[in-house]
Amino acid sequence: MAQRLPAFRPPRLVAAALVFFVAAILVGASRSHQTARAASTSAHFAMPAGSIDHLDPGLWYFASTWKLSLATCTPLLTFPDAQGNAGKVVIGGIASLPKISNGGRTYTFQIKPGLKFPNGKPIDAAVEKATFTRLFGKKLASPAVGFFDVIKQITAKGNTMTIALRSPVGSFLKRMTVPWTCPVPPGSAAGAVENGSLLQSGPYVVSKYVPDRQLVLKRNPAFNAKQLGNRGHFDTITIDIGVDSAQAELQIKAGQLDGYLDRLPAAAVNQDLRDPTLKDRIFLNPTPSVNYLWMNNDVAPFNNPKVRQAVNYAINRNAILRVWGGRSQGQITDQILPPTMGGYQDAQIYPANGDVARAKALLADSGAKLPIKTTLRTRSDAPGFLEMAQVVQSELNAVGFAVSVKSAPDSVNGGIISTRANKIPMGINNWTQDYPDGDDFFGPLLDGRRITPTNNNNYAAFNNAGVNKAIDRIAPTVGAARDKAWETLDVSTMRTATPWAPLLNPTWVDLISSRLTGYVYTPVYGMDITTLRPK
Amino acid sequence: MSGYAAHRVATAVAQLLIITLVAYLLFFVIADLTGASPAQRVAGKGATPERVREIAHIMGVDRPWYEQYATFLSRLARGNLGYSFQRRQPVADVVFPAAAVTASLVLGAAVLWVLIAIVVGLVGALHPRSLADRVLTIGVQVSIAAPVFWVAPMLAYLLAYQPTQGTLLGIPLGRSVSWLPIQGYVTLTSDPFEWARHLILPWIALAIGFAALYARFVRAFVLEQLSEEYVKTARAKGARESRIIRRHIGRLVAPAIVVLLGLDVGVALGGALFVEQVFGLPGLGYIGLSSIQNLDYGLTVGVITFAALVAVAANAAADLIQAMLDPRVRAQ
Repeated sequence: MAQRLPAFRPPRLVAAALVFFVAAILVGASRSHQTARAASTSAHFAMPAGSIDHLDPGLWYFASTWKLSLATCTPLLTFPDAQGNAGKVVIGGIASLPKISNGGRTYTFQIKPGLKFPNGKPIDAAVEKATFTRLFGKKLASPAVGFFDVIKQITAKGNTMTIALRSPVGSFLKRMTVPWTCPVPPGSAAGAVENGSLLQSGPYVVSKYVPDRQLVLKRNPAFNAKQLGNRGHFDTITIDIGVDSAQAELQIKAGQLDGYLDRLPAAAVNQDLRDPTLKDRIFLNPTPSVNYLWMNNDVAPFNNPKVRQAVNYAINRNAILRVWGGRSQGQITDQILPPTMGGYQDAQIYPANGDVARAKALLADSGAKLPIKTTLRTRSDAPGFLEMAQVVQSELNAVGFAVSVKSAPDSVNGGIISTRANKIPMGINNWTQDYPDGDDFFGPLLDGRRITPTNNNNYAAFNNAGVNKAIDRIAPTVGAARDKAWETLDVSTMRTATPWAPLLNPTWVDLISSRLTGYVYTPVYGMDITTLRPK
Repeated sequence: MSGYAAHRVATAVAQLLIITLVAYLLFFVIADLTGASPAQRVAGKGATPERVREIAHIMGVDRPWYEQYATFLSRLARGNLGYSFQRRQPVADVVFPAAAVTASLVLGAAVLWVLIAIVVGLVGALHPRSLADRVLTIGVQVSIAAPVFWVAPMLAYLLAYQPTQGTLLGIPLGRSVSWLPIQGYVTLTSDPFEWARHLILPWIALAIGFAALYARFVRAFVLEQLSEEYVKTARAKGARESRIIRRHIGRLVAPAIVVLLGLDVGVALGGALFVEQVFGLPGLGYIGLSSIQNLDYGLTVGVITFAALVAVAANAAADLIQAMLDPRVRAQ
């Protein structure tokens, strides 16, 4: 006899759970539509975890944090909210453009009248002086010190602030645009204040900050639009921190997010570029940065320029660009300065696809014993870097190297490579300008006199007397002559001393939601969230 | 029983000590040897070596590792998980809210996978080798093979994103709808419906693999029990099949599932890490990963300790429950 089995009926608990799920979907969906209609003057952005290093204007340094600083503070001088070359012209910020005297050694700033903090207290010269004094304080340990160490003395009287320099510095106006010059109230704590309460001179103030989770900005009622420009078109901007880039890209297309303040996945971007419905809201722009392979002069045989040149001939930059994400993600380069720099000319020093025979010949000529066993370090927590390292490894191995690749999160890798005693032979890094001038590349990265035992940015430990002299010669110059001089130094350095193998200049891709307009990509900070507004 | 319990608790404490020690050695000593100094990270890029030394002293990372570990244990014994110098707040203030998020995810997913497993397992056991059983078995095999880091983004794409473009699994919907969020989290206390709506996809993503494993277990267990003597006796006495399943076999399956759940908590915490990353849930996995990226050693060790505590406690509880239910375990 066949066994009789009961007909299966779903347990009541399953049915109850299903009802709850469906109710949640329906109720939630209807609420999300209501929210979208009600909050017409709010914008919603996202960024990955670890994007904000500090909210104290004396300490912030990440490019992503500086991008946010456009909304929350106004530096002493600034750049216009404009694209292309127009966005690289220094204009007044908290102060008008200064009067320069004493052979470029004295800068007299007039703080704009009528500027106030949200608590009603005025922003005057004494406030700016106190801001600089705080920056130089030991308790803050601000990274600004290295940029401002040319300052000899600051005096303040009423709305006039005078800065005396030790020697003329042609990039000083541009240095005064960095967001460390944003005023903070006098009497602020000498140490770090990280809850956002000091950011009060931009069109927005921080109303809520949960580290690595969320930042909420609200309109600053004390912002003087007449003096500082009509910036900021939303009542509230919410920035979710820790959002995966792939999910963010979907959310923007789905209308659940207005924009992403970091790099979108290359594969998704390449697909989006082919989508005609997105063509009005996807933007490609060059970045003022370079991805480069540095070679350590402290470590043989990289102390031999012929070996460094051999590396430049051995690598196929087009292959490297392919693993970085293709042409939508950057353009190859063999120069130190990016094409966004004034006076840039494409010198085409090394072949884009490499020249293996020439590389082998240079290695033979250098006298280096083959195979050259070496290590290449790079970061593991940003897409593309490990892939670039693997291509370089394969290409160098083909000409006589034996490269092993090591990677770690940037926070770890950065500590290792910036400690000179570790003698790391080579690595791949990115450098993004702090301000648009050649001395922001040659100074921290290639001036041998600025090499430090720790926190060293000159990973190549490159110390070339000729280059150092040229840096000194260019230092006091200004204008087009200065741009031209940097460009000449760039090309000659790469032809002869060859400290690095520059790889590519990344392209920045922004995708914004269909409800926004007013997109402006400033050549210094990227997408300007203060120009965006609802359609 | 008390002897067994004491032995099991002592084992749990030893496990916890080993895990925390390994975490300490891994993140304090090895990273420090490679030149990645937590004090440097806190001090910032522009800090002078003197300032870095000063901060290292304040953080206590300039002392030998065994001294640091002893301090950590002594603090832990007093319920203090340490201090996050990156976030400038006690680790407990970061870990406990994150633990609530992970608990929402793991417990919700556990309910889901147990429900699915019971339904699928019973269908297979009651109709062995039927078409439904074969289809479900294939589904179970596929679900076991599908890694959570693939399942999670696929669910977000197919069930959350595609409907906003007017399609669902390739079927036109006629209009754009936003049923489920692609990512994000809302707390239970602020809005229970939004909380559930934001967690539906994460629950499914985390539950799929476990549901498949549990379904296989339930099917095999029930099939085995159906041929046991006590089932035949119950049938001979006229008991209905539904009563046999519910009252006799069900009473044996339930404790076994509880024990399995206890053992799988640690595994689920690992899976939760991927799900939290994809769906942007600020849980333990999410903050643990970001703490590693930020070189926030205090928080990293705090998260590992807390997660280890939960996993070890769950395992110990499962063993104790099993011992209470089965005298043979106590006798071992």
